[in-house]
Order: sequence, then structure tokens, then C-alpha cells
Amino acid sequence: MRKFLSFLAILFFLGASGFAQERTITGRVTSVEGTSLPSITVQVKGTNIGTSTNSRGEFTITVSKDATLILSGIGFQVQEVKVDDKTHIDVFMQAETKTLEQVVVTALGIKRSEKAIGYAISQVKPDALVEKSEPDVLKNLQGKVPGVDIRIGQGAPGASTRIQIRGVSSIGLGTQPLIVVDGIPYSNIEVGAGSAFSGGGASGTGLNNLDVNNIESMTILKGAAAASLYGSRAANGVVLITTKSGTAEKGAKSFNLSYNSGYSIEKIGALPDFQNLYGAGANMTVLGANGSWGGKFGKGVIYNSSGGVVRPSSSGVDSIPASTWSALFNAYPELFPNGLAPYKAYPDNVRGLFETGHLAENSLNFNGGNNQTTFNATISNVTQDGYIMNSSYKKNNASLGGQTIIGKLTVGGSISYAHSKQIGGYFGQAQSFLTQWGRTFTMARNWNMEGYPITDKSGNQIGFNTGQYTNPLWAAYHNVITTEDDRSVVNFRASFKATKFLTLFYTFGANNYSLSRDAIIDQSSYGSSDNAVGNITETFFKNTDLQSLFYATISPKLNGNFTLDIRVGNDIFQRTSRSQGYYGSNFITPGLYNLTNTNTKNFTDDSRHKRRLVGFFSEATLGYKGFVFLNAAGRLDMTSTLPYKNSKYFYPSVSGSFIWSDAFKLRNNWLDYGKIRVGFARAGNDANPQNGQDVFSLYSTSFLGNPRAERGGTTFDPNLTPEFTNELEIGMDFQLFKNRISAEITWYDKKTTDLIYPVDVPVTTGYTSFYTNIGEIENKGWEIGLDVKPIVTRDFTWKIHTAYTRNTNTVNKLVEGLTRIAYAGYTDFVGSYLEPGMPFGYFRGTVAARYQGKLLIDPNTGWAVEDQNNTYLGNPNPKYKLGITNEFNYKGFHLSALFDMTVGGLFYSESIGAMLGRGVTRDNEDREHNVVIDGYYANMTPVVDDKGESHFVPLLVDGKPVQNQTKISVNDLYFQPGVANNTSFATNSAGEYNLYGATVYHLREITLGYDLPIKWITKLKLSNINVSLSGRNLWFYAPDIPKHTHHDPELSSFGTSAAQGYDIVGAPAPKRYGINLRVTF
Amino acid sequence: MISIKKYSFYISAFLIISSSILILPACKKFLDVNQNLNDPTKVSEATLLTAAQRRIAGQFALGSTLGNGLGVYTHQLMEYGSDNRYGMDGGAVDGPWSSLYIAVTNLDVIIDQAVATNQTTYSGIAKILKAYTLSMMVDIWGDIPFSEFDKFQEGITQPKFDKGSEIYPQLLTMLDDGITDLGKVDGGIKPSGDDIVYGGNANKWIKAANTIKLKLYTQVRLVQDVSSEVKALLSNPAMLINSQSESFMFTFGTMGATDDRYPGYGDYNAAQRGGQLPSPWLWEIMNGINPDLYFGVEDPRVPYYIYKQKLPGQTPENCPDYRDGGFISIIFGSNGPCVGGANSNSYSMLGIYPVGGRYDDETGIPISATASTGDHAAINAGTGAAPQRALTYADRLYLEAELIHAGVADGDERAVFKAALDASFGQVDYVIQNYIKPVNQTVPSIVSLPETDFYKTSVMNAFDANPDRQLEYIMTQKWLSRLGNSIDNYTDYRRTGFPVMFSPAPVGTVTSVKTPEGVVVPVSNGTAYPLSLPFSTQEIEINKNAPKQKVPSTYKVFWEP
Repeated sequence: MRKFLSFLAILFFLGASGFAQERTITGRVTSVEGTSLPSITVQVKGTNIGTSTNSRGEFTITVSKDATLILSGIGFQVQEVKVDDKTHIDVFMQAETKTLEQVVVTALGIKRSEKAIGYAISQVKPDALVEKSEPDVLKNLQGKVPGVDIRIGQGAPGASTRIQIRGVSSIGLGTQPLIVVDGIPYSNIEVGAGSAFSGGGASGTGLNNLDVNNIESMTILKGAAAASLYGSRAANGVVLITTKSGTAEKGAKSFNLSYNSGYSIEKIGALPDFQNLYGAGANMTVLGANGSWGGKFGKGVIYNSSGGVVRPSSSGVDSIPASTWSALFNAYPELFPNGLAPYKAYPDNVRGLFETGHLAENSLNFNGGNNQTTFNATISNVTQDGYIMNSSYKKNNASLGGQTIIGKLTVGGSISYAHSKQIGGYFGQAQSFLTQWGRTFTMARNWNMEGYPITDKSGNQIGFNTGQYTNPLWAAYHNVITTEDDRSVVNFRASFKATKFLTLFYTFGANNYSLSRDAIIDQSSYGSSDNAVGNITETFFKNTDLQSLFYATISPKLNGNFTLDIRVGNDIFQRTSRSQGYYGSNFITPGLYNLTNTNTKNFTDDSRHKRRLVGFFSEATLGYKGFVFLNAAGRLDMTSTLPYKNSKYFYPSVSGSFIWSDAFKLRNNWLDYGKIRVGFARAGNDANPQNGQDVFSLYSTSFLGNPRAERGGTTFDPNLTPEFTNELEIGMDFQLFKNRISAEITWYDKKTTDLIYPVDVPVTTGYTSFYTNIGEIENKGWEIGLDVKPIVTRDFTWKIHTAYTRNTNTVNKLVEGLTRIAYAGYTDFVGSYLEPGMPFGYFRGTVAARYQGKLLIDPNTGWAVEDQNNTYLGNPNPKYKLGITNEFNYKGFHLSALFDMTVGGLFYSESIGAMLGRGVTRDNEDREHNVVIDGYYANMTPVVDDKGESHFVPLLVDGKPVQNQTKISVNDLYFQPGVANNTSFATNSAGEYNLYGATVYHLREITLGYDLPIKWITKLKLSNINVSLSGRNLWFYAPDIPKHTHHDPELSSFGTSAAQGYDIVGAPAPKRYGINLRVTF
Repeated sequence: MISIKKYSFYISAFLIISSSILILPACKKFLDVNQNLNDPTKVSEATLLTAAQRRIAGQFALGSTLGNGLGVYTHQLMEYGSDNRYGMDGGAVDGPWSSLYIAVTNLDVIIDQAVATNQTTYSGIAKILKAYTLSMMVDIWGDIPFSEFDKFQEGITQPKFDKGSEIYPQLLTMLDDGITDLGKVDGGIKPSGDDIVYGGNANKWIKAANTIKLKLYTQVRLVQDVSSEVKALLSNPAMLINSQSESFMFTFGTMGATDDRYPGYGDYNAAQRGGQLPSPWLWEIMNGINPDLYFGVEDPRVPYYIYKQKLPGQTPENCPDYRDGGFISIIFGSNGPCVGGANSNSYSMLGIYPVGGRYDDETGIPISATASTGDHAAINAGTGAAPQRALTYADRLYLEAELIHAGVADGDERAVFKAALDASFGQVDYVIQNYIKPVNQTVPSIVSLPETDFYKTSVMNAFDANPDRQLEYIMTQKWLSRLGNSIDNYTDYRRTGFPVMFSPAPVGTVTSVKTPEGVVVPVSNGTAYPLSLPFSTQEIEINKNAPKQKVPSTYKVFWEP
């Protein structure tokens, strides 16, 4: 790092030396009505030097005497101002009425007029990303971009975030969009750490390596029409990121330095309302159980081990035999002098398991140069400790870029390096026996973890019901996953303006990602013999992407009213990856966690993958009089991953835009701009690599010294063809009332055919899956972005930005013979399925048996009866998502608040099921009575119906069903101890009772910022100082979950996987409060 | 300069087009990088054989879904869960169904490879194992895919289910084919250590194949006349399993660099127990408590079969559902108030003989997954090297006794039964001394104990005194001897109705049980006895030629009367 800084210092002097005669001027930009205009771009004509106005409309810039400034902003006419001898400039901007020359970044980073675009794209300004107490790029996009669905996974530091553009359009290949940074693909790989079900880490994705502070601009290409030039990899849309070091932009002076700093504290998002009346036990009897269904506290008695009352308590405090907590008692009998332990509520026994986390972000950016040569360097650091015990994330970024113009040739390049280290625990269901989350929320109300030792005298884990769950305090520091990753990106680019109408571009990039991970399960962990003796899994992963991209732009001068723009190019892409896994168990010396210190070692993975793709593309845009544009493009891909005969495939796209407000000259007092656009495109997608031949798989361990192998379970289709996505999108953009209202509305219909998927085949075929083309999936939806400015006065403005996303994701077809696919999920209890005509990943599983709408009841037990057949349970996909940002500006103060909502859809929650089943929240506090489930008695011998399915039917007496009259306890209503064919309503229940409505409203972020007046800070030789306060995830409301569980349906245990809607006892998103400082020198 | 400017468009266009022309033909080689670099496309028969044998043994052993589930169905084991109400559903058998079919698929690969290269020892063993495994699957499920199994490459993606009665004769033929292969001069490559059953001994495999045939004929004797077949087999006992050392058993290992232990030993490492408890029913019969069977006669095998973590009078973690002195377990179908209490370090466990665990030396020391103070650590409580006893010498003698009793074979029923009883006890010693090899405790030889003679005499006296219960005694002793082979116990029970069990009483007729300590525990039995197991849910969900899910209490295997 020190070397790097001295290198920057050298650059600084080189940069500063040549520009001594320049001077700094200040300015203020207002509308003709006198309103301060923030975010107006101020650029020195003919250079890359530029800045933008602060929230007061003020700017400062360094110029030479004869310079001219160009001021531009969305909705305003571009204005040029000569500097001359002035030191202060006041500029009045005219609202745009004639032409709107907004420039947008499109595929391949090509900047084009917004008018000429026949499809929807969204631009994200960098100030939407920084100062929000959130170092994750994607989390900052939540609720801000129509058509983009961002889902937070685990609330652990460094955990992955899922982005989905226009729904899931592939089921066997990736579903995450292509990320392109400075023209080269940026592998956004999630190297998973174990299973979300049985105990795994909250792994991050490759995108975490990006430095938010280094982002110059971000464009989201949503549809196939926008993305088709990227070929196979862009079937799920593209996120196009330009970094500061990857552009030639520089700030207001010849040398600029800015410093951003933020500090936040974080806490768990929400805790349940616990009941504090009943402790461990069952059915009102005090017992050593996990459920809090025991007797009421405060009876002033001493219980025996069967829950019987022995005698009144002389101290008045209820007591239980200490032997109930046998491991604790055996290890520390001295803690229980009379062999008794208190039986009373500890209201904060769960709260005490969480901490106050801290997040600090610091970033330094330098840029500078002259008219020919510019450079940019950024270094950043993020240090975060989560609210979860022993969870942290540290990230360091450094990047450097530059560009120089030599005649007609422009040459540039950038290099960046990122290193991160994530420490965290395991997540997953209670029975995984690894996680500190297993029983965290369901801790019996009379257990006080913090009051007791967590190990016995020989260092083994102990707890209250030892063996039944993992002690969270112990797990946090003993079962730990540490992941470090490194990313280095090198990028070289050149462009050559051969003639007036021909320019050649070339980019070469190498993107190298490597990850190493130690997943430790310490001695005395539960769940398996290997866990008992401790084990470590080490994972090494390396991915290298190489990309060569060449294209030529030809824009011949046409006569009259026509413009033409042609692009032809070629790209070559190679991805190689290598992964290795080592496993060692039975630590020799306790407390030392490496493979050498284990008795038993084996390899779990040693694999390489390589894929190559060669693409040729061309596109042409024809414009007429600046109000009609037609774009046609085509791409030919050749891939290594498909059978050679099917490895070449071509796909076209065509789109057009029509500025009707200009064509029909309709602009008037209320209409500023109107455009309609239509795009149709097709995009191909290839298979995953190394999926072409049947193989044998070798076991990682021998048996009795004999190596073992079996025929691989998957066989491959020799006639595999590419997946194709066909998408039609129609949209309109308009601006009304002098830009007080602007809107973009898009409707799309996207069908993906020939889905490539390893479909399950009956094991009786000799295989378990067949890698082939299996069907068609469709996404249809609406995206609406609406901006309204209700108040615009000189000192006060109020803006509302709305992003609405509605997507319907349906499986259309599956190949002959395939009824449905079990896509992901638990067991046949609840799983995600794909089935023609059904929503993507719909929940299918077990239900209670019913007759005429009423439940059937087991006459032997009084519990509801479970139907013998799995069925449709619900749709996990939301109806719509809506984000509303309100922004207020008042004399340098800036307040913005984002409120977002997800409406509709169901999610599976083991967290809620466990809380209800264990009786810990106030939801089932009222329990000292019996209940009779409304239903009919069942005949417990099932009957086979005419479809051949067996079902329970009601017990008929005189031909009529009999109303249930069997009483059961409230305990049994929520927790049923595994009686065949019976179901409760929470634990050991039919799948349907663990699904809850996922509708949730969030107050996502609030920022209050203040720009110091420029006249104060110019005295300090500074350009800008901004101070802000921010809050994240401050409040949420989920109307369809049991009220007192306070559980956020947003929690997803599956990270970036396509299967969503599962909460397998994970960490909720944190609440944060932060303060941020931004200084530009 | 000007001229370059003028022509640079054309030069560039030429460059683009010519480079494309150059790149295109080179593409085939450039793109040919899709070979799998990570997995072999061909492997030896040896590696396949070990894998297939380990899979088969693992699916039938105690500690597996079938081993434990059917152990509960035949009342040797008990668990806290739905199995103890005959609740194994289609989802529960997904694992064993697919694992057994994967094993058979790999046996097919061995047969194909071995036939092509004339490795007849391998093909013979693979055929015998395949026939054995499929016969067990028929016994469990009744009808299964057979004729269309493993034909994906021939275009069959939805195999039909064949009737068990049509599969059995083909399995007998397959066994004969295996025997024929083993009699040939092979191509030179013979199995040795990779064969975890007989170490490649072809003669023993032939004996096993003949004994499997004897077993299959016995199983179908109620629906078909098998007397000539069984007489032929019994006429040449030297070609059957004829000594302890010829028993058909799958070897497991001790704890080592790789976990080779018997699956049932896994309970010793488990923190949460209650999934494979010895049942009160077994306990009461073995301890002479059951009023109808060997009342007052204690079986000396108890400390070999069951390890008690508690002594009489010691306090368990939670109130026990069933307790008799140090023996703590759960009652079948219990609705008792203590059935759910966690008693992982109090429950009695399967001992040294069934799972390679601990011989009960009556110390009342709990077994813990980790070495907690004062406990036996799982890592050295036992060796875990119990074999999966598929078809033993004793089993063969019990088959013979049953056949003579049924009048299907000739011979001295009493003498054969006595020999079977002797072999049952001999087997305990044989297995402990030759396979389990205890290291941290001294285990007495059971055949040399005076109680053993007393027990055998009592059993033979009862046999002589009750001629009408002789089949029951044969089957009950077979059941007692065969702890660890739950599938065959389930088959024999469905064929013969023996041993008498607690719960096949008509649904709902037993409502409570009184323990030896006088506690009355409410029980319920809401489900009729399952005559076969449900089909795998996974299979029937994706195989449109599969039958609809069955009602297990009415779906018979073809050999059931």
C-alpha cells in the first residue's frame, strides 16, 4: 500500500506541474425562475475536465482563461458560457423545449442519444450508491430501478444479494445478469459454502469486490433488444458499470482529490415479542424440553424431573432439578448448590445473543491530467462487524486508470485490485447442529445462555438440552467460516479514428478471481461423528476470464434527412476455472485449525472447467429527421459447450423509436416530449461447460482400503441445442408540464425456449438425470418509472421518483413425458416445482386432508389429518414491487427517503414455524385451555379414488360426516410429535402451514445531507463538503405473518440461487444508522 | 497521409473481413475444449464392485432407513417418530429405492464390462449380487421395474413396473448364470480385497447363490410347489452355506482414516438419540417377561445385543416412556406423557453384536458423541466393525427347519432346529471374534457360558412340549438370531405371521400398556399392518408408467398368502 501511495504522489506532481497558469472559478446555476439546480454537468469545452453542481446549484472548477464551459442537465437546454476574466459565474438554465439530447450508455459502452433507443434501459447515478450506509452495490439499487428485482439474502456481513431482471428466464443455466465492468465481463460467481438447509455459510458473490466509490456510472440493459450484442451471456440482461478509473473523466481542476468517509452502527432488524409466562416443558408440564410449553412461572414451587410439584419453594422462586440440564449440572455441580435451578423468565435471553455492529467506509479518489492525458485513482476500505456475534467483513480496493490521446489514436487502460475477508458462522435449520441460529429465536424462556458456561471442564460444548441444539455462544466462535477473495482486473483499450466516419475500437481485458475458504466445525459439535471430533473444509477456487473485443463504427454521411450508424465486430471470450476442496477431520491438537492438524484427510473436489465463445456481431441504426430511428442487429455465436453440430447459432434483433411529439410538432405548454418504442430480439444461450459425455465418478474416500467408483448419474443429450430467448417490448416515454412529470412505461413479453436443464429421470432408467432441452418459460410484465416534481421553488424542491415492477413468470411447456420438475426445496414436504401453466417455482407439498372445505380429524388423536398426496400450495412470486423515493432540497439541505414494498407471493418460513411450534412468542401465549379443531372425523383407512390416488375420507355415520369433538391442547395445535398422517399447524405440520404471505413494506433508506456553502469552503481551498446522516432498514411491516414473530419475509436462505422463498432460519437484514462525510479538495 | 486517410476505411474493412475469414476455420479446434477433464470415462470392475457392495450393505444395515424402519415394523427396534405407527411413506423410501437401483445399475456395468473381456469371476459375482438385491426389493415393494430397467440408451425413459411373480423366476435363472460364470476359467483378473463379502472366493459365492435360491424357494412356498427344487438343493449341503465362515456377510471396518464403520454404529456418534432403540417387546421376550413366550427364561444374548446407559435406580435426563431397571426405551405407538422427553444419554442402545458397539458390562456408563467427563466416548466405546449379516449359516438352517416343518423337505426337524439354535449362538462369538474384534473391553465367549446351555435346553423343551407351536418357535428363534437383517424379518413375518407381535392386533384394540415397573402408558395403533412398503414418491412422480401410490396395508407381495 505504501508503494502504491508514493506512486500516486508522483502522478500528482506530474499532473500538477503543467497547469500553473490556470485558475479556479466558482459558479451558481439556477433556473430562470431562480431555483437552484443541482446535478448540472459543468464541462470545459474540448476537454475531459468537468464537475457537477451541488444541491445548492453551486460549483467550482479550474479553467484556463480562454475556456468555455458547457452546462448540461436533463430537461434543460445545453448552455455554453465563456469564462474570460470572471471569477464567479451565474448561469440561468432554460428548460428544455426543443430537443432533448440526453445521452445514454448502451451495449458495448456506446453512448447514444436517448431518442434513438428502441428499448428500455435504466441509468443509475453514482450518488444513488454512496452515502447510504451500505457497501453493497446491489442492495443500494433496491426499489430504485423499474424491472429490477433485488433480493437480500442473509443479513450477515458480506452475504450475497440477488438481482433479477425481468424474471427468471433460464432454469438450468445462470439466472443472474451479465455484469460488464469497463467493457469486460466481471464474473459474479457465488462459491457456495454448504447447504442452506443443512448448515452453510452466507457466502458472498464476486460482485462484492466492486468498489462503490469507484463507480462512475451504471446502466441496466433489461431486455434482449438492449443486450443482444453481448450474445449468449446476456440472456438475463446486463448491468453495465463504468468505473472512474475506467473512464477518462476528470474533475474540476487539473488535480482533484476527494475523500468519502462513513461510519454506521447496525443492529438486528427486528426481534420477536416473546412471551414470558411459560418455560421449557410440554403441555403445561415443566420438563427438560426445547419447547416453552411448560408450567406457568411464578407458582412458588419446586418441581421434580417429571414436572410434579415436590414442595413450595422457600425462596419463592420456582425451581427445577438441575439434572434437567444434565451436561451443565454434571460439569458444574457447584453452580447448583442445592441441586436446583431457577425456573423463571429471562426476557432478554435472545436479545443478549446479538451485538451492535459497526460499519466504517473510507475512500480516497484522485484524478487529474490535461486535455490529452488523464488519470484516476481510487483507494477504499470497508470494515464491518455485523450484529451477529463474530461476523465481519473487510474489503480493500485500489484502482488506477488513465488515458491519453495521440493524434487519432486514444489509448487507455486500467488496473484494479480488491481483497476481501469475510468471517461468519453457519446458517440453516435447527437440526443441522452447526449453527448459532438453530434455536436462537426458540430458546426456552427460562434459559439464560449468558449466565452459564458454554463448555465443560474438558472444553466440550454444553448447553441446556445438550445435544438437542448448538449453543449459540459457543457456535459463534467455534463453527466459523472464513473466506478471503482476491480480484485483479487489467484492461487495455484503444480507439482509432480512421476517417471522419470510421472509428475502430479494441479492448482486451483479463479478470482474475480467486477465493480461499476455511470452514471449521470444531470438536464437540453435534450432528455427525465427524462433527464430534471436529473438521475443516478448505476450498480454493480460481476463475480467469479473458476477453478480446474488436469493433468498428461506421457513420457515413447520408444526404438529407437520414443518419446511419453501423457497427461490426468480433469478440472472443474464454473462461477457465479451477476448484479444489480438501477435508480433514478429527483435530489432533484442539484449537489449531488446519489440515495438518487432522487425523483424517481427503480431497472433496479437484476440477477444472474451460469454455470458449467466439461471436461476430453487427448492427445498424438508421435515423430520419431525428424523430424516427430503426435499429437492426445480429450476432453469430460459436460456443465450445454445445455439440459441434449445434455450436453455431445466429440471432437477430430489431427495434425502433418514434418521437411523436417532434414528428407531429405537438409540443405545447403541457407536453414536452413523447416517444414510443418497440423492440424485438432473440438471444441465444449455450450450455454449461464439460457437459457432453457420460463419465464415472470416483468417491473421495476408499472403503476398507478399496477405491470406489460409480457410473455418473447424468447422461447427456448428443443433440443439445441452444436456449433461445425471444422478447418483444413496447414502451413509451413522455414528459409533461415543463418536466414536472416524466414517465417511462414498458411492457414486455419474453419467452425462453429449449431450456437446458439436467432433468430428473426415474432412477430405474439407470440414470438420475438427463442433460437436455426441456421446455419453455415466459416472463411478461410492466415496468413503470415515474418522476414527479410537485414543488419547485427557488429554495425548496420536492421530487418523487417511483419505480414499479410487475412480472409474471410462468412455465409454458415441458417436453413430452415430463409432468413437472422438482426444482429445489426441502423434501416433498415443501418444494419448488416447474410445471406447464403454473407460476415459476410454485410451492408444492403436503396439505391437510379436507372434506367439503373442512379439515378431517384423526378420531384417535384429535389432530388434523394430512392428505396422502402432494399438491399445489402457492406462488412464491410477488405480484408487484414498488419503490417510492421522496427527495427534498432546501438551501443546501437534502433529504431523501426510500419506501419500498413487495406485494403478494408466499414464502416458506422455518423460523416462524419453529417459533410457533416452540411456543416462545406472544402469538400463542393464551394457552391454558383446550381447543377443538373445526372439522369432521376421518376414516383413518384411506380410500383409493377413481384416479388411483388414495385419500382420507370422512367417517360416515348414517351416511353423514361427524363433527370433531376431540379436545387437544394449544401445545398440540402447534407441535405434533410425529404421529403418522397427522398434522399440527406449525411444527411437524403439513407443508401448507409453514407458508406465509410475503407482502412486506419497508422504509428502506433515509438520508439527510448538507452541502456547505461554496463561499465558506473556497476559503479552505476546497471544492465541496457534504455531510449526511443516513438510516437503512429502519422499519418494516409484514401484514401476513404471525404478528408477534416480527419476521421479515425478505430473508432468503438461498442467496443468488433461482429458487427463492425459503427462510431456513437465517439472519434478518440489519438496521443501520450512519454518518457520512464527503470532501472534494 | 492524405491517401491513407482516403483508403483507411477500405483497409479497415479488409482487416475485419480477412480476420473473420481467418478465425472461422480455426474455430473447430479453438472450440474443442469441452472434454470432461475431471472424471474418468472408464474404470475397473474392482472399483465398481466395492462401491456397489457398500451401497447394498448400507441400505439393508441397521442405521439405514430400511434397516431401522423395518426393524420397528418387526418390533426389534423402536423409534420416536412415525415409523412406530407404520407410517413410512413414499418420501421416506426415496433414498433406499434410488440407492439400491444405483447399485444394481453399477452391477450391470460390471456385467457388461466383464462379459466383454471374459472376466467371469466378476460377472458371476455381479449377477449373484444383482439377483439377491432385486429379490430383496421385490420382497419390500412387491412390483418393481425389471424388464425395462437400465435401458435409457435404448430409449426407455419411463420403465414399466413388472410383477414380482414374473421377476422371481428370472432372478433364479440369473443366480444359475452367476454360478455358471463362476465355474468358468476367467480372463485372469480376479477380485480380492475389493470383494467385501468373500474376498473373491468363487466357491463361497457359489454356495451363497445356492442358499439364496433356497431362501427364494422358501419364500414362495405358500403360493407355489417348490418341493423338488428345495430337495435338490438340500441334497447337496456342501454346495450351500455350510459353516460360519461361509456366511454371506458384507464386511465393515473399524474407525480409521476413512469411516468404514457399520451404519448402525452411527447412533454412538449421535448427539440426539431415539432413532434406533432396542424395543421393549424384544427386551421382554429376551428377559422372560413376556407371559406367552419363554416366560421366566432369560436369553444370555441380552448384554451382547443391548447396551444399557443406566443402572437401575439411576436418574435419566427426562422421565422415560418405558423403563425396566436400567433398560429405557419407547413403547410402540406410545401416547405417553414422557414419549418426547430427550433421553439421549439414558436410552438403552444396540450393543456389540448388532452394531459393533459396546458389550454391556453393567456399569451404567453413558456413551457420548464427545468424551464428556465420565462417559464412554463414541470413538472408543466400540469398534463399529459389525458385518451386515445377509444370509448366515444359522439362517440357512432355520430355512431348512421351516421347510421340513412345512413338509416341503425331508429331514429331522428337531435336529435341524437344534443345529440352527447352536449356530445362532456360535454366530455371536464368530462375528465378535472375527469381525468386530473389541479392543477396549473383554467380551466373554457366549457359547461357553452355562446360561447358554440352560437357555438352549429351555428352548428345546418348549419346542418338544408344544408341537402346535413349533413353527412359531422356529421363526421366533430365527428372529432373535437375525437382529440386523430387518428386511428378511419383515418378509418372514408377512409369510408366516411369526413371531407374534404387539401391534398387529386390529386397529385401535390396544389402548394401553403396563410397564414392568407398573406404569400404565396410553398407546394407540391407528394403522393396519403394511403388507409392503409404499413406492418411492420420486419415482412415481416422474415415471408415468409407474402405478399410483399403493395403500400399504392392502398391497401384497405375490408370495403372501
